[in-house]
Amino acid sequence: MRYLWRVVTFEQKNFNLSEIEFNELRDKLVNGDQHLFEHIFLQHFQKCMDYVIREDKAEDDVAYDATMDAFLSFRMKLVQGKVNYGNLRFLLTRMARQHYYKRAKKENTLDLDLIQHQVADEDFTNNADVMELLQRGWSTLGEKCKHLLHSFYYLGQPLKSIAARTNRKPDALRKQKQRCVDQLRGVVLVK
Amino acid sequence: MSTTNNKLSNPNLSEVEQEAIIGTFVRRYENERLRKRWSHKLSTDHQVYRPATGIPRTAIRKIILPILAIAASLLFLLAFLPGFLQTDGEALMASYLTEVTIDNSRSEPKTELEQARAQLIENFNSGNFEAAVSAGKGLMLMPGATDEDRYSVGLTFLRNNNTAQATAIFRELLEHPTDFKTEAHYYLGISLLVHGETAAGLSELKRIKETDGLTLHAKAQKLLEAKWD
Repeated sequence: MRYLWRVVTFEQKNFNLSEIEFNELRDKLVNGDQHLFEHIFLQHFQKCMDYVIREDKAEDDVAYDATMDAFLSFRMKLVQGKVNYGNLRFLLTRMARQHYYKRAKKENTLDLDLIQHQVADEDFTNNADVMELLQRGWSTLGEKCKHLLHSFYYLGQPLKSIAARTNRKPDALRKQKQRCVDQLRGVVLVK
Repeated sequence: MSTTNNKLSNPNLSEVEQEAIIGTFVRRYENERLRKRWSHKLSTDHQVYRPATGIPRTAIRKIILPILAIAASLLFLLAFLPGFLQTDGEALMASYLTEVTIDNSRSEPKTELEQARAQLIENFNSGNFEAAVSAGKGLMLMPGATDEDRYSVGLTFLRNNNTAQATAIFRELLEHPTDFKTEAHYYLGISLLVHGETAAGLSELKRIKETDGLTLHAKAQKLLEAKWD
């Protein structure tokens, strides 16, 4: 009885989500519906940020950015099916600390295992010239192209499922996607 | 131009490389959009705002805090240490007062005047200041009373805490040339200080020069340097 206060239920470790609700949340995210994720997770933002500030004596603004990074990474991992129901709270706070370490460029005493994809991505996206060209290219795309590239690259939806949902033939969709990518690359090619 | 840019410009870019580059761009682009959206939602729905970028805590710890610590130490030293180092004026004055004795090297008293003088000195040096005052009042009324007697009576009034009378006697002594000028200035200063007229008392002590006598000058200087509330 003395240690009753320490007991954290399984659901509390998972932001009060049952496993069924967690799976539902993930399905919604994969289908492009962010509302449930935002409703559940953004209310824990402050606590997560405070945790980083407390544990790592982080500057408030860097802790905020690192927590935001963690939420984005967490969302991405959920979409990619790389997060399992278990201890989501621990996972999220650990990611926030890893992002903080990366942002603050602190001597790395913490393994950045949870944010490796982000580290790899930065080799490319830190190149401002390329990002600017691609953004210019993106603005030339039509809504259909943007939606297709968003579904495929950001939501991680396979072309087959996009085709099924939009009543398109997979081959036709593949060709359309390539045309969209070519248009995006075109800005770089004509530069 | 960068390697990535060269790759993107290459018409023979492999599909794997193309997917990696475009995929990374789209994720980054959409993440930035989402970051803005969440930032807005956090501020409007949850009252969580991004704090303004400040000086990094590490910099504060490494640079500013030591500077502040040094400044605080200096401020402390300037504000308080002089107080600690400074002798308390009243305590110093009290210790000087207890040292006061009246020279009793005179010969056996024969006259009334000499007896009154001896009575004063004996009572004074034995600490019976009230009796000394009484003897002193009688001595002052005698026609043969000297400046040295007045000076002794002044000390007696002072030790008996009759500062107003002591002040009056020392002032009277200073109204004419006397061998007790330095002592009169010094004990007038002390009398005023005991009476609570600190500024006037210190002003009187300032008049004592080194050439007036090393002992009283040194004491006067210590009292002048002491802390007075």
